[in-house]
Amino acid sequence: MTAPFTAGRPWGALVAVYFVIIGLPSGLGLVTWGLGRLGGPGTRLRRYTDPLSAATLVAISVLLVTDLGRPERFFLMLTRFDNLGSPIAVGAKLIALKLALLVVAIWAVERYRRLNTVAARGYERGGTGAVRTGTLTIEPPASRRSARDAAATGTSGPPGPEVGTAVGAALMPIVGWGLLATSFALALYPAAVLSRTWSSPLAATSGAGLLFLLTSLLLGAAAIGLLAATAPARLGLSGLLRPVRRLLLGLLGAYAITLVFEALSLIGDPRHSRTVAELSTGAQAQLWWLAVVAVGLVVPAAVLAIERRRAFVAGAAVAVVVGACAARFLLFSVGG
Amino acid sequence: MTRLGMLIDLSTCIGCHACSVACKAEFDVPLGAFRDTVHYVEQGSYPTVTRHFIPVLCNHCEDAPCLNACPTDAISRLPDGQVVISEGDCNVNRYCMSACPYDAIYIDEDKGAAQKCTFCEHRTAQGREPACVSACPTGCRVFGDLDDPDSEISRRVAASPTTVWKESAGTSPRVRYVDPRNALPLIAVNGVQVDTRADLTGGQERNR
Repeated sequence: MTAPFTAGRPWGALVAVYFVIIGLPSGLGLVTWGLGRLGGPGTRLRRYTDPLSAATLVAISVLLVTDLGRPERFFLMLTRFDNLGSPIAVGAKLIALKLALLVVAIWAVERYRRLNTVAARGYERGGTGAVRTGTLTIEPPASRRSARDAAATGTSGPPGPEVGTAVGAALMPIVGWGLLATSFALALYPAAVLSRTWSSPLAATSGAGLLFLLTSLLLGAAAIGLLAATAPARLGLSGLLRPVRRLLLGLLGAYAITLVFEALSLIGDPRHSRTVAELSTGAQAQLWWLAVVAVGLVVPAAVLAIERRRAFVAGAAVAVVVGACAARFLLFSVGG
Repeated sequence: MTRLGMLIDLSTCIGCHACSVACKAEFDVPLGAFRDTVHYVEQGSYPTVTRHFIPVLCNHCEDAPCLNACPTDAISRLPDGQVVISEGDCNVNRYCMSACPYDAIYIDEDKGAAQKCTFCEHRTAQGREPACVSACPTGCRVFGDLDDPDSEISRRVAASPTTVWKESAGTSPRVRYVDPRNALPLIAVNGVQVDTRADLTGGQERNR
């Protein structure tokens, strides 16, 4: 889309931060689900990733409302269903829905943890370990040892925020799938919003949607990697270090390939000559070469390929976060 | 069905800004913002330099990007085709401004809403012409029903080749131009038409 010639950019720093940060809750949701499906500590991990996702969504909602010229009318984005062709209208509703689902999931995980702790203590005192509270029954862990583990970590049982009530049993899969779907949708959503603007021409290119998705996944994997590398051993997350390291390496590989093909699609296209110049040698060149390519891609890929120690994985995760945030910022800002 | 539109003959515009002033007075448009303005575009180099005067306003596009972008449904199309903003429903998220390739929308801080040309809907509903059309001393603007073959605008469109601004944007504007010197594309590539360094606040910024 051709830019107007006199206009300043309608959106400023707050919206830029919003489009950068919104990748984190999406990535956390997708990566947590993926690790759970691969046999990782799904519920145990959710205890940390779901509150982090919720806090991030609350923060970006505050950012969005603050940025509005009429913040008191924010609710119109949630209550109006006349224009579902507007990506922002859909996005606002998705954020609200995901936040509500996260609240349910956090409540369920915490309740599950508490009941399991009670069950484990009862089992240790020589009882059957079964706890009955109304209609809710949590069966005892399979062994005394796993009971102790559950009491220590606060979790046990299958991945996912599942509770033993009939309502919970019916509700929790819906919540789980809902979180997965909203996470995926919100990972792609910035591309849909920005592709309709003249101020973010890169967002309308062939690889933009994939880049937003991959940077979301990178942010989520890096955050979980940091958690696994820095959390105390008693939390039982250290086992995540190896799969997250592998996941980060795989994602960085896919990210590099996507960036190469995105560059190939832009270079030589006269519509994007100014954008390419701004990125390669212009005002954004330092951010692109230093933050995205060097810090966000080459350095963490090399570190993760060579080193497996916690400190190095943590350092690489921080570098990935910096690079992914810079890439998302450039998708928002270059060419406008 | 009425399909209101405007034809602007660039060969007769003299760049007097009477349209801009009439529009400002009609809607009390704040300093620094315009619903309707005239761009001066210089072309060529001495001694074959020329200046074009190009009036621009909201194009009331058939496929209006602002209308599709607005998340609160504050932007709507009237039965006659005008694209208008309902102030009470606008929460000033500025997505319409980001989506409009014509820079036709601005924020009115006093009204707390996005604003733009309405084709003077309040006047045309009474059978009057928009303020800019009435004010034009050379009659370079023609307003009317594009679907009425007997209207002056339809006859003028049929009589001479017309074009639209940024046709590649695919918005199907309802503001058409008679542009014999092919000046319209110069707006997009030549960014010197407006002196953005000018202090349009009347010193208010300095006095704060």
